[in-house]
Parts: sequence; C-alpha cells; structure tokens
Amino acid sequence: MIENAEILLSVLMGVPLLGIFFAAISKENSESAGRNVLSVGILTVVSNLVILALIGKNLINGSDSFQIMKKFEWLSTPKIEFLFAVDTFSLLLIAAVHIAVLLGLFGVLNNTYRQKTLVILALLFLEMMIGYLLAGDLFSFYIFFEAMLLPLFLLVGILGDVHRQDILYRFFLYNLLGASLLFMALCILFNHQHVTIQTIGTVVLSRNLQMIVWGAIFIAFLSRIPIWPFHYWISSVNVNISNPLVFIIANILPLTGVYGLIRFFPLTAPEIIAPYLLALQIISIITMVVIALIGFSHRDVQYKIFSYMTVFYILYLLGALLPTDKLLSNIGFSVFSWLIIVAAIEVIVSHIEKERQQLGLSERGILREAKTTSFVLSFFVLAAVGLPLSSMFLNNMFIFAGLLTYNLKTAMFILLQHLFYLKYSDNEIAEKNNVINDVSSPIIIVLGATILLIITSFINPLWYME
Amino acid sequence: MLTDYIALLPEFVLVLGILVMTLVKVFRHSNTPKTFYSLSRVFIFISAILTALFYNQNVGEYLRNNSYTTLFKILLYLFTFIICYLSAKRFVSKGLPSFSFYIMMLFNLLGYSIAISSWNLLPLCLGLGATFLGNIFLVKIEKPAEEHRHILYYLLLSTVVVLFMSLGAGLFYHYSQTLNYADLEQFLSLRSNLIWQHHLAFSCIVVSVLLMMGVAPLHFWFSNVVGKCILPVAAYLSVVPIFAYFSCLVNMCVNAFYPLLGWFNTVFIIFGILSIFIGAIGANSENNLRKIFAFSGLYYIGVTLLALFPINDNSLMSSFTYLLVYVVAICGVYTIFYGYRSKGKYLFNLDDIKGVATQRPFLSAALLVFMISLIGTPPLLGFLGKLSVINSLVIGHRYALLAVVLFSMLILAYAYLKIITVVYFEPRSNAFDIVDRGVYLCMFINIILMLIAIINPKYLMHDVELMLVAVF
Repeated sequence: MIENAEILLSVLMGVPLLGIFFAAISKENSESAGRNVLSVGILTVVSNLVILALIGKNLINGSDSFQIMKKFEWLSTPKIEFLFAVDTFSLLLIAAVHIAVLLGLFGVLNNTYRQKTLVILALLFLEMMIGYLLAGDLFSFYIFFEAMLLPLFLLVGILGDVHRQDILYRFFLYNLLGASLLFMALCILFNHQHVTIQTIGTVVLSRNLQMIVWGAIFIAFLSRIPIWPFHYWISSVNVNISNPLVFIIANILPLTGVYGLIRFFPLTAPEIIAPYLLALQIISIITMVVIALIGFSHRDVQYKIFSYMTVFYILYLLGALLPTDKLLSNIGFSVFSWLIIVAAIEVIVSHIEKERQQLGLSERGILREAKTTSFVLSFFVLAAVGLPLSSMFLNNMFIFAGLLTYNLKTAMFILLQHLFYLKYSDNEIAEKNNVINDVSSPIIIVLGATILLIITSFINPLWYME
Repeated sequence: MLTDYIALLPEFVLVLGILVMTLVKVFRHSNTPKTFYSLSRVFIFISAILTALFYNQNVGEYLRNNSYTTLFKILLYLFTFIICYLSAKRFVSKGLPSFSFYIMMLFNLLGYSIAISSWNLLPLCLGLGATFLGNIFLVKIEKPAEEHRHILYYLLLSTVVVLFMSLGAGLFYHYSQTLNYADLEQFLSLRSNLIWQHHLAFSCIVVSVLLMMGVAPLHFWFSNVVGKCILPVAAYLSVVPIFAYFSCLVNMCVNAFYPLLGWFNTVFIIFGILSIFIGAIGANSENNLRKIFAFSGLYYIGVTLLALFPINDNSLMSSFTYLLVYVVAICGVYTIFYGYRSKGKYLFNLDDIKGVATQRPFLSAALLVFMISLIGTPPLLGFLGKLSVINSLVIGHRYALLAVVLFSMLILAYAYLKIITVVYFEPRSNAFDIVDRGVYLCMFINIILMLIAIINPKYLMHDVELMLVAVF
C-alpha cells in the first residue's frame, strides 16, 4: 500500500496533459515521419498504465465503494466540490480504455497523415475519459461527459473520412443535446438537496420533477448508446472510419452511456421511469437483433465490428438495468477484456484492409500466407464470440444467468442473436498470389502481449490486485 | 470640495488626452499611426490607475463611485487597452491614419465613465448619448463616399435614440422635479398609483439603453454596423460598450426605477427570449464572420437579460459572470481575426478561411477554444458562465426559460460547427500572411487567464461578488 495514494489520481490525470504538451511541441518533419509524436503518445499511455497498476495495488478487492478519493473545492457560490475517486469497476474500465488506445496507437504506426493532430486529440480524449471514469460528484461527471465530445468531433472530422458534413453536425448536436439534458437535471438535483452521486438514490422530488430529472438523465445516457432512435449518428459516423485509432476511440464513446447509468442507478432505476423500462428493453432487443442481422449480411468488416460492439453494449446495458448490483463486477471484468479484444481485432482488420486495397486484392484467402496475422486474428475473434479464452467467458455467463433469472425472454433473444456471429468464413476458393504481408514485428509483439493479458484475465481475472 | 475635483481626475486625464492628441494632430506633421496609439495608451493607463485609486469618491449629487462602478470602469479600460494595442498593428502595417480611432477611444471612455458613475439621469443621458452619437466617427473611418448612406442611417438612428432618452428624462423631471436617482426612487415609491406617463418615461430610457445594447427586436442596426466597419471598430463595438450599458441599466433599475421594475420585468424577459432566438437563428444565416459573432452576441445578451431579471444579488452575479465570460471569449475571437490575413487583407468571410488550420494551427486551435468556450462546453471558461446562469434559472424555478436557453444553444452551436468545419476540415484555399507576435501575445494571455479562471474561480468570483453587491 502507498501512503497518500490519492496523489496517484492527480498524476493519472496529469500525465496525458503532459503528453499533449510534448506532442504539441515535438518536431514533425519528413525525417521523423511522425515517429516522435507517436512515441510521445505511446510513452504517455504506458506511463499511465504503470500508474494504474500502482493504484490497483492500493485497492481492496471485492469492495464496491470508492476507495481512493481526492476532493477539492472549485466554487464557493454555489458551493461546488469536485471529487475524483476510484473503485475496482472504474479502474478496470480505465485500464481497458488505455490498452485499447495503446493498441490503436500501434495500429497507426505506419500512418503518417496528420499524426500530430491524431495523437494530441487521442490523448485529449483519453484525459477526458479518465476524468469521466474517476468522477465522483455530479458536476465533474457532467464536465467530462460533455468535454470528451470536442476531441472526438475533431478526430472524426479530420481523420474519420466522413465526407458528409451534416453527419458530423448531427453527431455533435445529438450528443450536445444529451449533455445539455444531463446538465439541466444535475443542476436541479444539486439545488434541490445538494446530493452527490452516492446519495442520488435518496433524493426526494415531486412527481413532475422526478419525471423531468430522471427522464433527462436517462435520455442523456441513452443518447450515447447506439439503440434506436440514437443509433443513426454513431452508425453513420463509424462506417466511414478507416483509421484504427479513431475507430477505437469513436467506439469507446458508448461506454460512457452504460457507465453513467451504472453509476447513477447501480441498484435499480427510479420508480417513476420503471414503467418505461419494459419499452426500453423491447427497443434494445429489437435494435440488437436488427444490428446483428445487418452485421451478418454486411460485407464491410468495419461494419461487422461496429455491429458486434453495439450488440455487446446493449447486453451490458440490459445487465446494468437489472434490479441488482451484484452483476456490476461481472460487467466490469467482461468490458475489460471485450474492449481490448475489439481494439486488437480493429488493428489487425485495418492492416488487412489497407494491404488489400493497396495491392488491389480480393478477400479470398488473403491470410493464408500471413500466418501470424491469421493466428492472432483467429484468437481474438474466438475470444470475442465468447469462447473460454478471456474473462468475458466467465463474466458473460454470470450476466446471462442474471438475465435468465430476471427476464427469461430477454435472455433468450440475446442468446439467439449470438448465433449470428458463428458465421465466420466463407468456403471460397483462394486465388493464387492473393496474399498480403504479415503485420509488422512491433505490432506482433504488442498483440502477443495482449493475448497473454487476455488469457491471464481468463485464468484469474483479479491477478493485478492484492 | 477638493475631494469632488479629485474624484474627477480620471475623467480630467481623458479630457487632457483628447486635447493633447488634437494638438499633436494639428501642430506636429511627422505623425505616424503609432503616435496616437502611444499617446492614448499613456492616458488610458493613468486614468485607469486614478480610477482604481479613487474608487469610493463621489462628485456631488451627480456622480458616485463605489466598488461596483470601479469594477466596470476597470474592465472598460482593460478591454479598450487591448483593442487599442491590437488595432495599432493594423494601422501600422497598413500605414493608415489612426487619429480618429484613438481619439474616439478616449472620448468613449470619458462618456462611459461618466455614465457608469452617474447618480442622476442628466449625466447618464449625456454620457451614453454622446458616445452613441460619437460612434458615427468610428463607423465612418476609412469608408468611401459611396457608403455614406449607411453612415447617415446610423446618424439618424443615434439621434432618435438620444432624443428618446432625453424625452424620458424630461418627462421624469416634469413630474418629479428631480433627476437624482435616490429622489426619483423616493418619488416613485411614495406614489400609490403610478400614472402611464411614468411608465412611458421609464420605457423611453430603458428601451434606448436596450437599443444601444442591440437587444432584439431593437437589434437591427448592430450586425450591419459591425459587418461593414473596419476590424478595430468591429472589435471595439463587440467587446467594450456592453459593459457600460449593462452597468448603467442595472444601476438605474436598482437605484432609481425599482418601483417600476415589476411592471417591466416581463418585457425584459420577452426581449431576452427574442434575442436568444433571433441571435441563434441569425448566426446560422450568415457567412460574414463578424456578423455571425454579432448575432451570437445577441444570444448572449438575451441570456444575460433572462438571468438578470428580476434583479437580486444572485441574478446580478450570474448575469455578470455570463457577460464577462462572453466578452473574454469574444475578445479572443477578434484577436484571432487580427491574425487571419491574406495578402495584407483582413479576412472576414467563411470561404476566405478554408483550411486555415493547416497553415496557422495555433491560431486556429485558439479560435476553437474560444468558440467552444462560447458554447459553454466544459472544461473551458464558458462553462462557468453557463453554470451560473442555468443555476440561477433553476433556483428561480424557471424551467421553461431554461429549456429555451439550452435548446437555442444547440441552434447556435450549429453556426459554430460550420466555422470549425471550414477551419479544420476543408482544404486550404488561401495563402495566409505571417501573424504578428502581438496577436499571439494577446491570444496567449487570454488563454492563460481563461485557464486560471476556470481551474480556480472561487477567489476571483468571491471578490467580484463583493464588488457587485455595492450597487444595492
């Protein structure tokens, strides 16, 4: 245990800012070909992973409450205090986001187009995600919830290959609307009883106010998750992104919605919106099945990954909405592996797609000579569909068990749509010379380390804690 | 008696400055554009120091100074100084005469200073009327003869406004035999039933001030003037006068017309809502950058009005915070406009700045920061303003107005997104000139101040709150 462990939280939030500073002043010329700025990005993320490991050493496993906290007064009238805190659940998510971004950075190792902008914005997004996942009070929660939109908007706009600007505008405005609703609700809550996130379940409001406040909070978080009618913005943005880092970051955003709901309503949704939960579950299931079907029939691999992610986000959402808080650790451990697996798949797939387009090849048998790439991709795909290779296996089983206990029909539908992912490869005849190069050695090393991490998380998901 | 004269020293210094500059213009033939900047800088600085020194000295029954008036005056001096500094770069680089601009800076400071301190309707009308009329000399700087129609239009408008204001003051004098704030308030409080002439007189004065502020539906002149005049004047009109109008409006509403205020609160709110909608929609319909920000300014003034009325210490604090945050950001935006040049020409159309981020990344990043701050997105300073206003509306249980403010912000955000898209996502269409170091300096200081203010606003806001409540 480290004394004054709360200082680690400040360091965790400070390192990306330092990284942004060094990335901004690093030289970007033809000689360095963007390597300087990329090294800064990688070093920043790795440093933070070390700090996260130190924080993990100071956490008591099994405790659901905040364990390391840092508080400071920001404003005296109205009296607003920021609280940053960490528990096992948030630590897992922060670690997963870091590893996903690290994999994304390795994925753009050979991509020199506006690398400085890419790294700066990625680190800025990471900073906002850390702040959001550490937020322990209403206002810091909102601040980072809204603030992460800007780096994401710029990343998608500059490097996301989105040619229609109206899609970008819609993306930003949808999210801004959600954030505005959250802000309004939080201001009402704050002025009502000066509640904190921990005491939010105890707040007493009039019926009308309950409807406004809880409804606004629910819509705000749901607006981040790609379920109908909020699915449009994220799908239209995601299908165009070819840059793996940008794709990974854009697909981390829905996590904020699920996390928000878990943090605000860990046990159950407020009574006033409970009648609407059934409608939400039906919409979620329909979205899940439709998206899974589209992913099944779509030829674009990028879209398949997106649809896979959407289905899992909805699974976690449904798990989070169950009237119990016993599944939260399972969701945390499952998301940890899942996010890393998806990031790894995206890095490999973007490499394959880039090579395929550069060499003008078809899809038939292009991996048969790239044995390492083929092996790594196969491992991650198998882990992604839920085979016993990662912590997803055990924890998803618990989530399904929870769903079966509370809502049998929902669980059956979710299990049904998983069948769609069993369609893995076509039996098409491979063409001669239709082969691509393996991924480069540094990426292989990183992916190898990721495989080890994933397997370790299967054997003992709590290995990094005392 | 002597203290009365001492309290007038800041104004005296400004008058002296005007005289000295006129003499230099007439008798010295080797003047450069920098000459008048240097002179105005000295007089503004001395006057600001004296204002801070004599922050609580009164001048008879006409002018009263306290921490409230000093706060606004110092802000006026500060922002005028920044505009003067940035404008000097433009006049020097183009080699154009700067006398009219700088002498008007001193003249306006004088007028606003008198109006802010006024404890009587006479100096208020004199100060605000003279400056609003005098702005005609700013608007016509470097304007060719064929554009004099617009200038005549402004002259006509400002004359009508001044007459309207004088009519209001005259009516009050006719019925109460006094123009002193305290006496007027006593007179209005003692009357059991106020007649329509009182309301008319009050309306004449308040509507004139609202027109000067450019509040909708009296906003029609502002975007036209700002869109067509030279950059230093546009920057000045967008940044500086709003403090003087806001301060005067609050001062006279609280200390002279409080008994009439209940009746007019609804009108203020209607004006506020109209400004919010027209500002948000108008900003989306423009391609001229200055007009976009003029309309967005209308939105912010509308929100300020909504937060201000009904007036109390909480609403005053929140509306002032919002206004200050807006002005800091808009000052930053205009600083960036000084840096957006191509072949010596200052650019003000959206199409002219396509892809500027690829050649001027720091400048564009700063523009982004200021615009995001204007949207009120955390963690930038704009969030502090948004928080104070939204919090004030929630405390007042005015949820419908809250919805109006937030919904209109989404419309306004669309206009800013258009600018961000043009700056960052579009391919570059112009070769941009090297940016003056002064622009970078101002930009840097502005961002540092924003950072300090947002990281730890409590000390700053605590002092500001103490200064503001002095008006009650």
